[in-house]
Amino acid sequence: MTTTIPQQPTPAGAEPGGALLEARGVIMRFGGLTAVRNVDLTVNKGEIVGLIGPNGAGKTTFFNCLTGLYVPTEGTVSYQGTVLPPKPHLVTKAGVARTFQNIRLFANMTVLENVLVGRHTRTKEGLLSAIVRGPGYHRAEAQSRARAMELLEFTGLADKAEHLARNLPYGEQRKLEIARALASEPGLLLLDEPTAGMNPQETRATEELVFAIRDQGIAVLVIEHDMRFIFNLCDRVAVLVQGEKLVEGSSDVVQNDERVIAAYLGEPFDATSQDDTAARETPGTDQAEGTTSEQENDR
Amino acid sequence: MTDLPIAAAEEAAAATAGHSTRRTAPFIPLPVTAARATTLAGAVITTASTFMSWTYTTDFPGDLTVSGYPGGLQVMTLIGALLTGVVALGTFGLKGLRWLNPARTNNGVLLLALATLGTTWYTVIDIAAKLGGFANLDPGGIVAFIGALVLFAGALALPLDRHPEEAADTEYYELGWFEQVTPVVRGYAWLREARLHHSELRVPDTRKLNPWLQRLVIVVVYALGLKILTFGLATDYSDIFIGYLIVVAIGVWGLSASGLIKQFQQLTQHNKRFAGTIGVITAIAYPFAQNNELWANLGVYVLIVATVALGLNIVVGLTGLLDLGYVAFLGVGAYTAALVSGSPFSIWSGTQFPFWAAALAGMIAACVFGVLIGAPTLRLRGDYLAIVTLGFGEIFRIVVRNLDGVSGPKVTNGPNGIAQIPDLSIFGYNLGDTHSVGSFTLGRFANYYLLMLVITVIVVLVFTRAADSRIGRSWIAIREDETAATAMGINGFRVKLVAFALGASLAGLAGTVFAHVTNSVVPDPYQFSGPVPPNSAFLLAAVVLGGMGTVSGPILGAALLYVIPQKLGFLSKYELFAFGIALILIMRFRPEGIIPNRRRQLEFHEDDAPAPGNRPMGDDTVPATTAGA
Repeated sequence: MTTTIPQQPTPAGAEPGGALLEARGVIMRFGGLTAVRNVDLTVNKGEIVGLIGPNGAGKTTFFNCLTGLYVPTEGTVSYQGTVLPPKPHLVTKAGVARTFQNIRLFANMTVLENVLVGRHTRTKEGLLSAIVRGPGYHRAEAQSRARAMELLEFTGLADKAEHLARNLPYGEQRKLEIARALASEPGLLLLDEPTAGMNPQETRATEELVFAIRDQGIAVLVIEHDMRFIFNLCDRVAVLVQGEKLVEGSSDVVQNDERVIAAYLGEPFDATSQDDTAARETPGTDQAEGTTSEQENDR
Repeated sequence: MTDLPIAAAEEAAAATAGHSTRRTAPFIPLPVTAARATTLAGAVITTASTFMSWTYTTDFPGDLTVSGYPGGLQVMTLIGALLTGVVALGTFGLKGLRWLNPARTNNGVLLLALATLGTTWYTVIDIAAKLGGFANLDPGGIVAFIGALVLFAGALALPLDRHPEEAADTEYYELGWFEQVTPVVRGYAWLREARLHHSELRVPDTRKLNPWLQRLVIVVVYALGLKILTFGLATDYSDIFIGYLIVVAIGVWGLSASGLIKQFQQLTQHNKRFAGTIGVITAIAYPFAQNNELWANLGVYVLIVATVALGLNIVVGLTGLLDLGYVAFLGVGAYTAALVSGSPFSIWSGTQFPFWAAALAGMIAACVFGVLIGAPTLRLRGDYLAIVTLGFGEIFRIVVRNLDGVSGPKVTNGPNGIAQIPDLSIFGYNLGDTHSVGSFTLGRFANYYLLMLVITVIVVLVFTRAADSRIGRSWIAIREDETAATAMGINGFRVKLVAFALGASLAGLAGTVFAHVTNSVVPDPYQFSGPVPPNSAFLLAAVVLGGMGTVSGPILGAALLYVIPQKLGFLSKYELFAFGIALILIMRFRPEGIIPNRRRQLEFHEDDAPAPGNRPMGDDTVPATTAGA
């Protein structure tokens, strides 16, 4: 949050509806490695935006910059016009909730308790009211529970409310992470690879779930490797390669962009146009992947 | 399962043995009927032997020379033998006796038989060792010796639930170098094979019982518990206490293996309020059940360390912050109370606060210290936090030692401390005097015991209510995965500071009573580790031994760690050594503590729990618990 980059025109393809999240010129450096280079991204109200890119492109690092887990070296992230503070709990309080690429549930708490923890920012009861247990406390607790159960109904986990989170099957753990994030009543939900490791049916179910979340008026920004999932789901897709935003636009635009295909598959061998994407090939990206994912796990 | 005859249950278990983890097999191959007969015969012989004379002279503690009436250690053998016989009867499938062994396994029988064997053989060998040779045994002693052996052999021949041994698992890396030595490996393999299996016990639902019967059972069990407790405390000789410990420890293990304890827990769960009330009444009855100031004294100190351990449990057990300097907060409370107690050695010797004000002052002072120490240190995680709190704990003691008017301002009288703290007086009831209530007399320590009991109940209430609330959930979330917790909107630092301050205040509250009970405060007890409780290591051990994150765990842990050294005087030289051994054994065999928290148990026995996911995970999928550590 050191430098404020002057306002730039909104990228093409942004629908009217008012910008919810605006990232401007976000740069994240780890020592000599620049994981995210000058990325701008806007998410509008009621929109599903996809963020794709080869391994190590800096997607998760960018997510961490958005949610305050990392403080960006340069650039600002603002939500509904106000700059987000670089503290995860304040970002959540402001209305941006997230899930994690490697599931990070509270494994030894029950499913219901996990969702109740998500309600933390939307409830106020402190230690004293917990000890005194006045009528206000009971009311707030009952409301929290009712809301949490609603969310579990919504994600289809209601009958497992009393199970320990660690005992859920993988796909349901992912769903629970989404339910937990929704419990903080976000305006924007960031999903980090929500279908990783899922079979096609589960992926389709997740797709339905994301649409249902959007229909509730919550904007979604999603990182994913499953292209079919992304292109079915997203109103707009941004492609991140080597920390830089390569292209942004509707599914068709991105799908047919030669630079995107080159970034994923490499240039044709007899390439005539030697533009700079061909210069950075996969070995470099692999290295970057190792670094960023390690750093994420260290957190 | 409940109404199946045991043989059918065994068949069912055998049928599923192929893929289930349960296997029933005896150690000694005998037909089931013969095994049962042997067990019962052993129980009868052992029971009968306790009515005989075991030795010629009355030199042995507890007078075992009387025929026709059990005494001293014979009582232990009698109880063990009767329990074993009764629980064994429960497995025989006789109508009306099934409730004696709700889990329908013989493992409990074996453990109870082991308890009987242990205490009987201990007695017999102790007689021989004390009086110089087995010649000092009367026939009764020999009958007991053989009876207990028959009982144990019979139990070994019963079909037992044993641990499954994977055929492929023949390499024992954990043995290290000893893997080269064949006898060691064989012995180790046998030991692993011999392990009893503790699967989820399935017990019948007790809710079907008549509600009045349920309550009666609760009352009877609590009364029995009180009786057992006072019996143990009343033992005059360490010999008898050791026999008592053998029976109680292994016996409780056996009862829990037979499902009786789980069944009782179900009962208390369904009658929570009632069980809680009866529990408190039982605790109140303690000073009335005996008339001995020594035991009341023991009770006061147990309650004090238990209360402080419970406060520490908020910090360590719920929030997962390892605090190695926690005893300093007890010291802050004690010193605050001493300063405002009206003691002539206090710098404010004229001021004497009423108890409620002193308690409040102690709590607030400890809370302030908690925040002052917590604010800079809680930014650290894990080991760093532990080391820094250890340092702060020692700083407290050294500062107090130096505030003597020579090295620093005169506040605490340095190493001499503040002596002659007057006894408390609450509503005109002087806790230092002996009072008569009906036909009972309450001495000084009994008075303090009752006061401390009130404080313990308050602390238990605070603990349970805080743990099951928004703030308690955020503590547990922080413990589970701090990164995810902050991403869910929890202000980690603030929530941890609240836990730290609450824990400190509760310790400060206990400290105010502690100062009055001991009549004086000196800096020395408030150190990291030492031979006498309270010290931080002792408190932490009480929490870990008892069970982190539970209410009853730290209370039980504190009681055991305080009472056992008191009763076993001869151990005093090796106390810290025994302490260390006990902790190592607990960490190896029951890392979740004696009374496990449901969550903790799963955490430590991940292999036994159902698989967390139905899909293999990639290398980057770090389990959430370790990632946050």
